[in-house]
Amino acid sequence: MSTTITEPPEGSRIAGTEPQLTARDRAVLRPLGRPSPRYLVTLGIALAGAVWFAQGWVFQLRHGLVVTGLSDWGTGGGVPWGLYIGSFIWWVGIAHGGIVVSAAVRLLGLEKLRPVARLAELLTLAALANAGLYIVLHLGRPERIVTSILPNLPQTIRSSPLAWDVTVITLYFVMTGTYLALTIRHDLYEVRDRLPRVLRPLYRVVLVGYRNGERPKAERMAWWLALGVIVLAPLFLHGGVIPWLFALLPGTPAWFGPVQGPQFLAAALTSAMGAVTILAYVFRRLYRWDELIDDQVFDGLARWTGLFALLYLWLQLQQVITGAAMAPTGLGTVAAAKLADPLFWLAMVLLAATVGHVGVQLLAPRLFSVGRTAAVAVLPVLAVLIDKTLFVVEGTMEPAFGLYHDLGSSYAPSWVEWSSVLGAFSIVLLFFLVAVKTVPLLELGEAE
Amino acid sequence: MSSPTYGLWLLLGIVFAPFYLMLAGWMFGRPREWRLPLIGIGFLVGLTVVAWGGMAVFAVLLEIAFF
Repeated sequence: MSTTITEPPEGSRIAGTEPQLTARDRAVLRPLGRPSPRYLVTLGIALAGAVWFAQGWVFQLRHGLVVTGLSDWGTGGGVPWGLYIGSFIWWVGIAHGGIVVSAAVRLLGLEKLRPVARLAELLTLAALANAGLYIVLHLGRPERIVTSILPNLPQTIRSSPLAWDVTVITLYFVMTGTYLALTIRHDLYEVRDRLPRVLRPLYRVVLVGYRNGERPKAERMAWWLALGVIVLAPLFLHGGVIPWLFALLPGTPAWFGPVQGPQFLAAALTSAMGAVTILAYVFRRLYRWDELIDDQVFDGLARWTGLFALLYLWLQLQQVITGAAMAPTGLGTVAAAKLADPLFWLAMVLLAATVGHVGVQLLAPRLFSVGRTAAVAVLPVLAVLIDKTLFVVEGTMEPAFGLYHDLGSSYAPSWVEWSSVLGAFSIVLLFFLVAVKTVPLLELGEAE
Repeated sequence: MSSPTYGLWLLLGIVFAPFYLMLAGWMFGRPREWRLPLIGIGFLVGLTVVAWGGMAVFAVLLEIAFF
């Protein structure tokens, strides 16, 4: 493939001052220049979304969780878990995209996806932060994270899946952050003179003890970290402690059973690959990185998305069939409720469309289109949010005990909860708007 | 029905196994040296402190402001 890299614009901080860098590296560093009007407009939109979210949260803090659509079982006529917990699952799932893509590049030799490895690592950090935020939101009294969860952890960790969850998510977060730090140190050192001066203390922390010849050891440590993460995240986090948070509760048939682990994992990987595809497309368009994030990247991501979506559909089929045919009463009830919900079918259609799109592109490669691949990537991301929120709501709406059955229960997210969805997107957008001006978003190649 | 009490073993014995493997690889894998693995451990500890410390400060501020 021919590569035509445009030079950085005149007047930018990086213009023509680094003869030792390749044209590719200069293109990678182009976003570090002065903010464009389009950047500032996007920043304004992201800040507006964050402010809107903040005022919704302040409203909730003042009046309590009564301002959400959540309520108590029974006489409360509602469900105690809803969009907040559904979004929590969703963001943790998306967080998988980053580190799993990057780990697969290092461990499995998926070089095709290397251009988006760092973008994806950053997505992991932003998405995990959002997942944590949703737990804080759902607590109602945020200080309980510190006053209740932490002091009691030595006891609760023996028996509480919630305590396991908090512990493993923390481990995943710090491993991801360390992975990013180890892989970015060399790049930061190489371009240290053109990074924002105001953040120098932070760069000094990341570059603590840096030596010129450390790269082979750092690369090997990143390999070991990738090995740890590629086992921990899929098998023990999103296929482990998060589904166990639900599947170990026998009073809720919709959550019970060993299939939850594989199904959560399939959902996570599907939405994660979709999210990485969207992110890669946005940056390719914004910074004219057609040569850096080439068509092969999107072809690879689309195939993985299609495979995981197919797996996800297959696991749904397992649950529906076992729930629909002479199942125990509780399972039969939740299967019937699921099949009667139009939103469930919407999620399945979105997933099926994703698989269908990938299938068509495999059969007729001439139909491949980067733009369409990115547009279709939105479908599984949306499908997983819908399905996981339904999963949470149906679990609490259809408990095994029939004590409250005749009282009925319903759930519709309030504007405060919807504001959090907008806010979470705004936070990710803000995170990347900051990242794009402070670190190289793609890995730099060897200097010429 | 009793609640599970095997959590500590499950977590520290099985779920953390990839983490132990990573640490062992850092320390004893080639090229063998101690300086960068210790820096890596510093990142792990530092990020944990920053994440939970930051959340603690944030929670206290919210407590003061709203409750």
